Amino acid sequence: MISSKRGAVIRMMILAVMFLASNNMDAEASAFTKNESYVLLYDRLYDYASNSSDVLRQYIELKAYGADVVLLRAERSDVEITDKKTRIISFPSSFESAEKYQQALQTFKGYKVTPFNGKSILPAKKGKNKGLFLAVSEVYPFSDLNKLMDLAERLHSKGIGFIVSIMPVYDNYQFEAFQKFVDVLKYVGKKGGRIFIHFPVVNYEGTYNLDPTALFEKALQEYRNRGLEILGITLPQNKMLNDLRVYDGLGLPFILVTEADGKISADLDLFKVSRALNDFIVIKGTYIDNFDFFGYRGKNFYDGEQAVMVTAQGKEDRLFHLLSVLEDERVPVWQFRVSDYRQRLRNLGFDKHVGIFEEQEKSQHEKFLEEEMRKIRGENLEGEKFVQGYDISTFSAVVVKMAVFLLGIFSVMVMISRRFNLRKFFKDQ
Amino acid sequence: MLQNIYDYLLLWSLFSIWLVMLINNVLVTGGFICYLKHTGKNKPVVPEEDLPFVSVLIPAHNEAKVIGKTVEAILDADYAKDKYEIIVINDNSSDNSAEILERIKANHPGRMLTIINTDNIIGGKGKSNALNIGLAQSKGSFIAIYDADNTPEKSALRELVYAIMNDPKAGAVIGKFRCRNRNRNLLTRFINIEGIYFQWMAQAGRWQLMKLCTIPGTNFIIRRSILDELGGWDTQAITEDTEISFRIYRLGYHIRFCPYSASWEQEPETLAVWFKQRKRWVKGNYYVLIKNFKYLFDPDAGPVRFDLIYYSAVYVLFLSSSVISDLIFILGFGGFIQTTILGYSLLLWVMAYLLFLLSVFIALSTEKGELRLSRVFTAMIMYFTYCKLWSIITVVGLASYTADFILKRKITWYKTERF
Repeated sequence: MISSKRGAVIRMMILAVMFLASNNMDAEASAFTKNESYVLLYDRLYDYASNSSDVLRQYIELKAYGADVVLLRAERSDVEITDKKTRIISFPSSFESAEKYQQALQTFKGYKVTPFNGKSILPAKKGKNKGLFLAVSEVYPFSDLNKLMDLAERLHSKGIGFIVSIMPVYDNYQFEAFQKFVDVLKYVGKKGGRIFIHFPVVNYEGTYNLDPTALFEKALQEYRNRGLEILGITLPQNKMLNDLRVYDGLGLPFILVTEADGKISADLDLFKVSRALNDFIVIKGTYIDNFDFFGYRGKNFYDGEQAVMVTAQGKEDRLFHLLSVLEDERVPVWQFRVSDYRQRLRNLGFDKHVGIFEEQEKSQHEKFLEEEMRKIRGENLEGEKFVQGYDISTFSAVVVKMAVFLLGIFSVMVMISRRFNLRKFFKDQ
Repeated sequence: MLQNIYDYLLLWSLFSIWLVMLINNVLVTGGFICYLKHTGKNKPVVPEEDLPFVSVLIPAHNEAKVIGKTVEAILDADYAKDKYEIIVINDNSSDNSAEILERIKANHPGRMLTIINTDNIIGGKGKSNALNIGLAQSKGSFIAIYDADNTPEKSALRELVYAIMNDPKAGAVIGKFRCRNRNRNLLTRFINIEGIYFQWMAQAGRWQLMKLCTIPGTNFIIRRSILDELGGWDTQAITEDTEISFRIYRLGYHIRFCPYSASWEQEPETLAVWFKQRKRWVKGNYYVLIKNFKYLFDPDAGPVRFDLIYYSAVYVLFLSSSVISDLIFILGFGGFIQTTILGYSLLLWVMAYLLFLLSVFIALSTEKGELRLSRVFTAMIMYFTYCKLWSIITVVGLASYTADFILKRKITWYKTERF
């Protein structure tokens, strides 16, 4: 069924944003780079058990917008900064003690060092959003490889490049299935799939703290020994810099970064970050269930360079379904209206998002403005039900005053009865 | 303007609750004045030789646990022994009441103690019927009534006689009854406060302000002439006391309140017994209300009209409003209904609570040893507990009365279980 539609040239939302697109971004980033240079002076990137790092956050933000930034650890006293325009930003909170911080300042006493005040160093400027990528993640040798090949053929027929993120295999290479898996991946590669490898997830004898570097290198080597071309690595944001040693020097120039809660600002354009870092391609991944496809219908609405992620663990059907809806209708993305497809999308299991998408057709601001204007023009009078409650505050006030008066009287009565001991007159009782 | 049915109900509840509260506060003030006036000075007395012959009727049905003490207490009354007789109507009892009574009679030879043992043919039809049987055999020109669980103080009968002899317009005189087992448990503590506040303070207030009282069922004296004229007690009424009160007033007499006469009675100690007793009261009062409702619009009905209004206000307005406002509060809190009443302040509720407490304190201050810290705490929680139980009783009583009426069920008299 899928192959019969291969010839169709359909413009749909996922097609509209192509894999590894946008040259204009390079020009934009480089223009920014020439203007600013920074040295970020720190002692430790992360506090113990901390989930975020001011140093890295600022570093990535600056990189994202093309600034020339260098991370400089305070103990490096041999560094000489030649460009006097370079701004040195220190991060006092990253130092173990005030003494250590003062020592660092002494080292750079010839320079103007500005302590970081918690606010973003970056000028208030946002980059434009560029593209959408498609990635099939968590592909194991025992995944449904037929489905993977179907998908590859289908996307290839539309001219869509895509990522297949495979899991490292650490052992058991002697099985025939492993070789078949590699063969399938090679086929997928011929159909335009770029093979990435997932960051190692190793639980060796019950511990997650095992250094996976050697295992990962071995797994990568086994794939490559069988002739598989692996371009990049898929890893969560928090491992991108912390665990650089795991994949550094392994010939993985592209990085697909998936989200890690609370690590790095969701507003960051990671594509720019990675390009500025060292020519790696870094993409922010978003799982298909959480991704707002329909927010992309206009060119200016989407946010960031993103990869739509669909895992190969039972959810790939949803991607097929969605593609079939869009292919059938041949609808340009910017003309797509959720209301036209509401029931069908619900049938496909996207109903959770349909209501939200509908709401997003008009932004809150637009709706607010529209309703306000209608009210100003008096057009919605019949639609409004003016409910005015019955006000008994006057009654309440009168009753309260009366009650206060009675309370006063009663208090006097109690005092009288106690003072004159009224009970004594009835003591025979 | 009011938007929905809940607005109307809430407003109606507020109005009703505060109306009845204000009436009660006026009555408490009147009662306080009444107690101030009865300070022992200028108390009317009757010379010993002029004391009338009195018949004391004690209706009893399976009252073996308490009847002995009651009869002994009345035999010991501070009243000329040859000027009163005691008639115990042992009404179709299946316990050993008869034996106990015979033994007491044997122990007091020469005393005028009559024991009428009825069977289920002429007896067993309730208190009114038993009283009518006793009345038929009585000789006194005044009839005093005591419930079988009462322990009247020695002076109780004498004080009642003094009061009625000195007030020719008094068709009957009522004394007080107090809770004998008031410290038994929380329920009896509540009942004790209820008796002092809602019974005696309200009675004293009504007497003071309108010369109006309602016979409480025990510790009262009534002129025989009136009973003869009325044809005795209404056997259909299960609150015969309220019913006969209305008839006395319509004859042109009033009922006098005598705070000097006190009797101690045993009150229910369990909720089940309390519930049955109060349900009977509620149903009985509905019967009286309906039976006499026509007099509400009769200018010749006199002060009875106030009682009708008062009973209507309490049993119809106040308690239904209390139930309605509670329901609206609960449903509104749960988000099931919404009212649009504005300006309803929590202060109103706080004021109502404070007024209730202070009026209770005033009532307690009139009784020896009652205005103390433990009673204060009891009164504080009474508002949220015992008063709410009364709301339930009212609804249940009304439902039961309506069912009796529709199904034409015979109204039966429930005898309060003794402990």
